[in-house]
Amino acid sequence: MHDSIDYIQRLRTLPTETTPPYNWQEFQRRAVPARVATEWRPLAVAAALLFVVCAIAVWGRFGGGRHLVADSAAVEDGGRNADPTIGHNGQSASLAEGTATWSAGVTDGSGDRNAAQAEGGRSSGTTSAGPTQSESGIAARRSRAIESWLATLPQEPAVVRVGTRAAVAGLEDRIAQVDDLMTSMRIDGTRSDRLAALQRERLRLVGSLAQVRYAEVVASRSP
Amino acid sequence: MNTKLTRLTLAVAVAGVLAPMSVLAASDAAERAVAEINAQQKEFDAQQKELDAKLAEARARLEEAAHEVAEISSRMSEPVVDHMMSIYEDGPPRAVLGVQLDERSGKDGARVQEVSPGGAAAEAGVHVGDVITSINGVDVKGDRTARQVMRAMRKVAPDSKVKVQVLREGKSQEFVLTARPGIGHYDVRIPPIPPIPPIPPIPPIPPIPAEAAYGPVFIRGPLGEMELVSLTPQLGRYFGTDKGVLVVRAPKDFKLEDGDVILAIDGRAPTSGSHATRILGSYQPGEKIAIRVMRQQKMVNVDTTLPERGPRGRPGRELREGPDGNVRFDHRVAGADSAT
Repeated sequence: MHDSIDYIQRLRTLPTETTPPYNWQEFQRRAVPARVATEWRPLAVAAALLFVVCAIAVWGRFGGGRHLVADSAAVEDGGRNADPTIGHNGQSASLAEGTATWSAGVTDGSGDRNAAQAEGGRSSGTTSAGPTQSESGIAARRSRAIESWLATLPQEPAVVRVGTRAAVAGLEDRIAQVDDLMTSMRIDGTRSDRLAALQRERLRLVGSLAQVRYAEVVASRSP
Repeated sequence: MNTKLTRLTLAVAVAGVLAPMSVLAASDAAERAVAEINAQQKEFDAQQKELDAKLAEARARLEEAAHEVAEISSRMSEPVVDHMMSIYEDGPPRAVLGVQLDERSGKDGARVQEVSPGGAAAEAGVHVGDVITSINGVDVKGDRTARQVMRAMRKVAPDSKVKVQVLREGKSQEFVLTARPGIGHYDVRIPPIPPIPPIPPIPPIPPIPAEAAYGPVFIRGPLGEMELVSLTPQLGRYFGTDKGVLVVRAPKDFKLEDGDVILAIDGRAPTSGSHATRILGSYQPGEKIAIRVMRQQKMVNVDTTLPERGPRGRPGRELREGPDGNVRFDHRVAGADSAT
């Protein structure tokens, strides 16, 4: 009994209930603009996307994208468009690699691509710019990565097997000749698509050299 | 007392009988264990031998595949590279350093943009970013420094030594390179020549196949099996010479023997197994070669002939061009007709 009186007294000492900030009608009124805003948000995003797509389409039609499309085609046919006399059985693999390189370059992100373009622009005083140079730059970077691995290997195994060493020497000489040729082409201001084609061949040769050297190392360690 | 003595005697007697028996039993068990271990060891050895053989076979296949990779890659690069060469090549062959030069190099020299892996420059220690300031004592400076280097290389014969001065991080360094055979000085632009009276047409010169150097004779032919070791001073003392390349496994029909030390090939002294391969690669099948060797500590001159491509004597895969012009591999045992 004493407890209940105590509670009642405590309850009486509590402050009076504050009035609510607004009633249900006010809440509904305030909720309407928010709902409208929520409904418009996806529409705004969709409109922005549409605008971006349109902008890319316009750019592709009238701007730099034209070069991109043309050069992608050049990559796909290995520069045969640029130079109709080039064409051979082995080209397809080169092109596949080149296309893969190009795709890799695109997926690398813009920073990477810009760097490649900058490298391409720096390295070749050529007549046309754009993705071909970018592709060339990417191929050069990939090639450099393989070369750095090659540099970790000894110049030759302790026991040199002439057959494999001849394969290595053949590839090394070929790469040196391609490098020499590329210097001459750059000096003469050659078209960048030709340089890109040669850069792809160089990348393939360097890749093959790495594979042959790997086999040489493995074979040289056999008992 | 007597009882105690009897018991003690009995115990000693029992122990005397049991001890040899237990020793015999233990000995039998040990023998059985040893026999079991020996059997397991034999089985392990047999398995190991089989695995070793399989590993050796796999490595041989890997090496064979590497040869194919090299051959096919070279062939695939031919159309594009040879086409470019035909456009830019203009003159007799010239030696190459194995670098790409930056055509926008400054006036201090020609900047090395790329170094060909395994090339002459790489072998000598030239790095990307080095600036070539002189070639064989001739300064490279002023305008068009890259072109100056290319021109200087026209005067260099393949396989000759080239002194290259470079600037690296502000410091001058000199390298001595052994120039490699090149493809012709194609950076010359000759002004148009006035028309001359027509001359009879010259039949086109057949292109030299890319596999002429380091071709099938070396990569997949009889010389491919030859094994060489660069001579160290210790090995040299044993063989009675301080320089040369030791033949570990001599090829058949080449008049070299296991244990020969190659001192010179037609006057050219090989410095390593790779160098010997490159020297031998400059010969054509059927060409005569004079090789000076140290054989059993005596100098011997061997006159031999580079063999034609022949069967390797073991099953192998060969790259062949079919009637349809497509290249495919023949799995062929030497002398057999069962191509697949």
